[in-house]
Amino acid sequence: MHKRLYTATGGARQRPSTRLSTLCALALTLLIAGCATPTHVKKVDSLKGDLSSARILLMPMDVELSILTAAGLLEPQAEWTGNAMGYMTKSLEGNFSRAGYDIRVHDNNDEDPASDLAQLRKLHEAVGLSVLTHHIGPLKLPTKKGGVFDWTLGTPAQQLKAAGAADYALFVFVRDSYSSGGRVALQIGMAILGAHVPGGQQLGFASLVDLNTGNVVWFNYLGRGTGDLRNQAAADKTVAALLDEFPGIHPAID
Amino acid sequence: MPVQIRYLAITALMLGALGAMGADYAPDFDPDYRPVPSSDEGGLWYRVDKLEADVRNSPHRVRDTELNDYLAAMVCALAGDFCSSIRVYLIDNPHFNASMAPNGMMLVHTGLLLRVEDEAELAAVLGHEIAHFLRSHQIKQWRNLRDSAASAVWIDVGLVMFTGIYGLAQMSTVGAALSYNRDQEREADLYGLQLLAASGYDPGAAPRLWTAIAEERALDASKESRNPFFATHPTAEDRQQTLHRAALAYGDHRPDGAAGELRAMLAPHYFAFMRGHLQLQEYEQTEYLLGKHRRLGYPEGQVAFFTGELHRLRKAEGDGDKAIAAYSRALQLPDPPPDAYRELAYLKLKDNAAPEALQLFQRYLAAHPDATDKAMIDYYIESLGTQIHE
Repeated sequence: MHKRLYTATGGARQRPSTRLSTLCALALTLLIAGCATPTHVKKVDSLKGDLSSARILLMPMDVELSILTAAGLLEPQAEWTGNAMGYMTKSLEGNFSRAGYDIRVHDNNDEDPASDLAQLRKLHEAVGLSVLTHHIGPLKLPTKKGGVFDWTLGTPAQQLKAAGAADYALFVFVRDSYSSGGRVALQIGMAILGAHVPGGQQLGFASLVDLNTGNVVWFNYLGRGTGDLRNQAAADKTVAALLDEFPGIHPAID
Repeated sequence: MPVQIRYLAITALMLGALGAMGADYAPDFDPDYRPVPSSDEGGLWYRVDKLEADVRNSPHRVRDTELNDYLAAMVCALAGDFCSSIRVYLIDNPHFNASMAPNGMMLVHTGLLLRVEDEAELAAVLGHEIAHFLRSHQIKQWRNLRDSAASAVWIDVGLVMFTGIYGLAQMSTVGAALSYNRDQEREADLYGLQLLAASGYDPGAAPRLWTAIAEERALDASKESRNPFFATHPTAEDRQQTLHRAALAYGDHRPDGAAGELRAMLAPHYFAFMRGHLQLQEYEQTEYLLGKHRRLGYPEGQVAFFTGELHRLRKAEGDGDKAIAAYSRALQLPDPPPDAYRELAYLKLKDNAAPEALQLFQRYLAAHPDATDKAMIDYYIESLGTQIHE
C-alpha cells in the first residue's frame, strides 16, 4: 500500500521514501528469481567456534502480511501480522532452545533518537536490505569484489551486548502477501489466455550479528511464491526455511 | 490539456459555490475511534502506527517543548472533541508542508512556520490537515484506488483479447486516482475553513496564505512545470480563488491574527530554521521570505545576516558587494549572529583588506569563544597579524 501521507501543499520537491523504493527494487530483483523456483533459500555463514549455550537476543521483528489485490496492490493486514509475529516468536524460541541456545526476546522501546540501540535497529535494517540487494541480488557493488561477505554494524553493536546480556542478536524481516479472491480469478483467467500473473509472495531474511564485532556472521533469505504465516504449523515451516542450516538447528523443511 | 483544465475549473466553481452556501462538514467517525485490526483500515493504521514509532524517535524532530505545546494547543482548539485523537510532531524540514496520517499523526514542517504571517494562517493549514483526518480521506482514497484498479484489470482482460495490448484501462486509473485526490484536497480546504471560522480565526487568512504561496512559487527559478493532469493538489492560485470565495460566506470579520505571539514563539528558533531553508538554494524564494520576515519584525540582525548569506551563496553578478553590505548592516543591529563577523571577515580577506579581516576574525572569536572552527580562525589571526606587521 502506498505510504504517502496527506500533505497540505503538494510541495513539489519532496524526497521520496528511500526505504520504500529499496523495498520495491528488492521485491522486483528477488521475486523474478522467485517465479522460476518456488522456494529460494540462500545462506551466508561465517559462524565459527563453539556455539553451544551461546546467548542469542531476538530483536523486535519487522513483519508485515498483506493481501495482494486483483490489480497487484498490497493491502496490509494488521490482525494477520500481529498473529504471525506471535507464531514466529514461539517457533524461533522453540528452535533455538531445542538446539541448546539461550534465546531471549529483546523488549526495548527506546525513543531517544540519540540512543545507539534505536539506531542499531535501523542500521541493521539498512544493512540487511543492502545484503539482499547487493550481495544476493544482481546489483553487485564494484567495491565488493569476489563475493566477500564482510557486512557489519560496527562496534556500536557492543552496546546491545551489554544491554541485552547476549553474544549474538538475531534480526528477522518478512513481507508476506496472499492473493485476494479477485487476484486468483485473474490468475486463472490470464492463464487461460496464456499469460502468467504472479500471486502472493513470501520475502524475508534472518541475520545473526556477533555483538562483539558487529559483523553479520550468518544470513539467510527467503523469496518464494509459497509459504504461509497465518497459523502456527505454517509459521513453523516458514521459520524452518528461514533458519535453514543454522548451526545446530535441524528443522524439517517441506 | 484543455478538457482537464475545463474540468478543474468546473469543479472549482462547484465547490466554490458549495462553500458560499455555507456547506456544513461533519466528521466521519466518533472521537477515539480505532478500526478493527482485521479490516482494510486496520491494516492501514498498522502501517502508519509503525511509521509514527519511527517519527517519534526521529532525529529530525524539533523537540522544543514550548513550540510543540503551542502547536498541540492550536490543534486542540481547531479539532475540538477530536483533540485527543491527534498527535502533532514538528519536523525540521524547510519545505512548506504539513501532513496528516489516518491514525491521527500530524507532521508540521518548520518550513511552514517560516511562511505564515500570523497564527490564523498557521491555523488554516492545521485545519486543512485536521479535515483530511476527520473525513477519513486516506482510507477512502485507498478503497477508491483498489476498487477502480480492480475493475480496470477486468476491463483490461477483455481488451487484451481484442487489441493484444494489456494495461490500457489500468493506465487510466492513475489519472482518475489523482483527480480523486485533488477533490479531497478541495474538500479539506473548505472543511478546514469551516474549522478555522468555528475557532474564531479570520477565515480570510486561508486565501491570504495561498496568495503569498502563489507569489513565492511564481519566483521559482527552476521553473518546474506542473502538469494539471498529474498533480496531486490543485494549484496555489486555484486554492486561493476557491478559498477566497468561500471565506466571503463567513462574513467580513478580521479579528487579530495573533501575529505577535507567533513571532515571539518562533524568534528563538528563527536562526536554526532559516539555516535549514538556505540549504534549499532557492534564492529567489529566500529573498521573498526575508522581505516578509523583515516586515513581520523577526530579529533584525538575523534577517540582515541571512540576506548576506543569500548573496554570498548565490554568487550572481553584484552579489559579493551586496553580501558585504548586508553583513555590515547586520553588525550594526542589536544581537547580530557571531557568524556575521566571520563571513564578513572572509569576504574582506578576498578583497585584500587584511586589517579589517583580522579585526573581524578577532571579534568573531570574542563573540563565539567556543566556535568549532576556532583552530582555523586562530590560524588566520596569526598569519594576518604577521602579514600586517611585516
